[in-house]
Amino acid sequence: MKKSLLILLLPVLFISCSEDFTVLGPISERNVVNYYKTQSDFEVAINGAFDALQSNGTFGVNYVLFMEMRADNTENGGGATGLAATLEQLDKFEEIATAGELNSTWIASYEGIARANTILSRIDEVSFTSDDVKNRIKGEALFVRSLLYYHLGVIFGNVPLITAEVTAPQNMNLNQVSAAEVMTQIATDLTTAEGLLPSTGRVSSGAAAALLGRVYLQAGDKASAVAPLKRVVSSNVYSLEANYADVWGPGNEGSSEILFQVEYMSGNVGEGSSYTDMFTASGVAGGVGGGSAPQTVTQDFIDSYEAGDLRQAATLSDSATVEKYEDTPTAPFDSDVNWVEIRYAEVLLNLAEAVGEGAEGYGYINQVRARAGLAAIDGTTPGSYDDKLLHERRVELAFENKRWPDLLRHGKAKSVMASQLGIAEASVTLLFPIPQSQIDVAPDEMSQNAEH
Amino acid sequence: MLKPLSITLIIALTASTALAETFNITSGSTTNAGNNFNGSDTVNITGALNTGSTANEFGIKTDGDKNTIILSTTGSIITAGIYADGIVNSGEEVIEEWSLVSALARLNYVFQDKYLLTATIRSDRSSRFGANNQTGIFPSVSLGWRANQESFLSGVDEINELKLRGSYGVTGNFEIPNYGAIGLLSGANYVSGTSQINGVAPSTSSNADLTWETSYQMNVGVDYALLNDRIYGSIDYYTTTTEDLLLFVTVPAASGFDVALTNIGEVENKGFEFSMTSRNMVGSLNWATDFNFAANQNTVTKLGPEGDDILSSGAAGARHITRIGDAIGSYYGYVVDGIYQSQAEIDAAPVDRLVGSGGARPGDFRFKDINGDGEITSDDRTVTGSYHPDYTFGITNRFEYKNFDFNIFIQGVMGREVLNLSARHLKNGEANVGSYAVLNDRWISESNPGNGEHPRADRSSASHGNNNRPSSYQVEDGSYVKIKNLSFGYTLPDEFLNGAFSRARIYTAMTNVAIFTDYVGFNPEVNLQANSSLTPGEDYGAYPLSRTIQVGIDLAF
Repeated sequence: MKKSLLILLLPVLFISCSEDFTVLGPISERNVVNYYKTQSDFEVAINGAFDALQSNGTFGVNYVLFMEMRADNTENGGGATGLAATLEQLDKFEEIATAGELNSTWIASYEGIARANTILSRIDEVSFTSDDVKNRIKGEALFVRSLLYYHLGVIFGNVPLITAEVTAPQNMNLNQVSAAEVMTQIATDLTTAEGLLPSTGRVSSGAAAALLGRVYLQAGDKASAVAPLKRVVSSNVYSLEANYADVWGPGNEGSSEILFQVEYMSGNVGEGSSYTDMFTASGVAGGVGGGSAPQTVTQDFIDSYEAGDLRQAATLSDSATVEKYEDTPTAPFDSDVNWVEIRYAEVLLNLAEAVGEGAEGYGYINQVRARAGLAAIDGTTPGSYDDKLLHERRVELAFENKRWPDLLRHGKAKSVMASQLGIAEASVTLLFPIPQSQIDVAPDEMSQNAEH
Repeated sequence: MLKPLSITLIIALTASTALAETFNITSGSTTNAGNNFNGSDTVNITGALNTGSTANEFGIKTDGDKNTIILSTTGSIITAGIYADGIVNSGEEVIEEWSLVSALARLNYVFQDKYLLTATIRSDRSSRFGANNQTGIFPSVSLGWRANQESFLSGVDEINELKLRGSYGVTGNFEIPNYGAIGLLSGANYVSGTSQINGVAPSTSSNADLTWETSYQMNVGVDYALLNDRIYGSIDYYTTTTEDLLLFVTVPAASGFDVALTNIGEVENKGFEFSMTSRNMVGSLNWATDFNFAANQNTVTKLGPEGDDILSSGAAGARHITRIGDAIGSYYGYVVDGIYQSQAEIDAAPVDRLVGSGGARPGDFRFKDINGDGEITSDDRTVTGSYHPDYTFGITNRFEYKNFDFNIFIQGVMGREVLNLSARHLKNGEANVGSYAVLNDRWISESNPGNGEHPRADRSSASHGNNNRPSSYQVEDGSYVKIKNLSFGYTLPDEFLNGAFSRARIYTAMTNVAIFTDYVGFNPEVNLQANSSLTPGEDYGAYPLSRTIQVGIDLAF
């Protein structure tokens, strides 16, 4: 029997000799164990974070639905059936928490945030040959994360605030916080980013400062918004384009007015923009809009232009469809037109809002009006300062995802939308519902917005 | 429903080329030691060590510069898609590898040909699991007692065999992707000016603690043969507890991921199995009946650290739930509580927060206020059924008379529900053609309310009563009894064969002869997401079963 016992032990001895035999990493696939080790790894990874901004769940399609179509400049075509019926519900404040657009927006936004978080959580352990490159990548990651959190904060309000790589998703702490806390985090991050970023580039220190000013305004802190916005102006890097229409389109990507744009390219390599197919008149057959634009411009918006406003022809086509992002893509969802998210005219109008009524404020507004071929306004022009400012923003920044946050910030969302849609003010919800599936997956940690 | 003979013609043209190669390296050593002590007991000890490693390579094979394909391209078919002039402008090659180290020791002990003992212990280490948790140890022991060998039964001629069995064993499951524990990255390219620039981003999450799914099975049973082997079979009772289930569970998207492969929860399967073969008539007419019956109960007993439910999405949104106390992957949704007959009825009902912009109309479903809070919200969802049947059975009857033989096999599955996702289009008038016949029984007006089970026709119910929300309406009784096989044969007498063949039998057989079920879809045996235990039982346009008729000759030389 002694011999038998020895045989029983034999295999166990073999096992202890071959520990490495089962330590296998992916051979041909990049993975989190062997990646994020060198400067060039991070140079590629940061592009992946920007890629999240192109997604249909973010600037590609969905942010337009929430930030623009929801408001009074445009509405859903109406009488929609099938898939487009949910867009109509979003337009009319009738969406339900299971609407697919809510969840896809949530997922795509957090995907980008996670990509930035992975970079930020790992970059300090790696030595770079260039500190400038390291600083730029950190600044860009903070900027991308901030831009996405700004949208989540405006759209959903009370969202999980995750600022580090999540390594065990099934046990993560969701940390659902108020929109105000989200905005505070963004302000901290953008302040850091501004110090890290170069003065020019795909994300400049000016872009971070401009977004910081916007975030302060949206959070109701006008006083804090002034300084970063003035830093953009005094940097003299940016200026208004002489001709309003020259801000958009494939030939104008280097415009001095653009502080930050989400880049797209045609060529059917998966880098095209869906916007043209979704929301303009010349979409390619096969696109969801099919060229007939589920986003219909409201008469109220068309009527809001002053006579002689040069911006009208650049914004609207003769048949009153969205002209700003016109393109002639040859394949569905493959337009070359970049999404211009931050431009100098917005900086000026934000600054006018931050400093309040006075010669300085009218001065910023009048810079924008002059380019539009309109006479200067001042305190004697009829209407309140807020109304005049809001009007200017509406026509200057039309279809640029600024109208819904404008209405929210000025406390006008309920009255404007109720009267436009002919519904009760109580039906106009200020926040979108948190996607039901995100509550279902962690019902103890996530709660629905009170309005829903 | 069974359709008569169907013909499927598949013409496939493909413009991609793929190679699959598998390399298997297995080395092993086995040592046996046996000893007969005194003729009445036997000991057998086996020790074995096995190491295995497998590499799979698939994808498009290219030569060194990754530009020219090795496989020749001829004709115009290939240039249509991916290739132009033999140049590959897209393609990838993926190489994967996995390894398993196993050690096994087994002891067989038989005493006086009456008492049997087998004990096994094995240890497996798999490369697929997290670096911290690769090894699993799986012991098992089984005992047998051949009672009919005992002297007190030796005189009982009616009992030909009576063996009592008991076993307890542990087994492991490692059927997960090769790099299931390691977060993978995939391409996430961006644009700079007019050029595409490379980017990467995490696509799956890591789990360094990922480990074996382990099942603990207890089984007791009896093998019997009675009355000169006229009746024989077995009876078994088992309980299996499976811990650390390897599941792709939905995780909060705030993590950056939709799903994560994780060890979570515990499922218990309890069941009873009975099988019997009875040779009813022996002689010139032989008639034998095989009967088997199985009942199994599947219950989730533990889930996650806090026991949170797992909601899972199959082909059409979150319609499954895995929760403690119910079967894994049970159907989850609202409960239909009749049909609104009038606007007054809608106005008086609890407020339904899920109806669309146009509001519910007469003819739309009334959903049940499960929690009784006076409104219909997502909290009013509940378990509406399960794919796990209450019991299954099979009966085969075999007849032989002279040279003729006849077999019939009947199969039954009872107490199973199917989630008919096609119902969302084929019961509400949305489909232009091919709707289910039950559409004829739909609600048309208050005075013509149909049979009270089907709502009004509505192609955009999302804007109205939202009748297509996950509900008991799509959960249908999938129980069935089926005549699965019939065969009839004639064996030619030897004198016809002239020695050319040792046996020749002419036969005709039919499969899927008839099915008896209330299920409205084509086939209640459907399971669209067969590889996901969290989303079983979905039907979304599955093919009908074809009935086959065969005529043939069996020849033996």
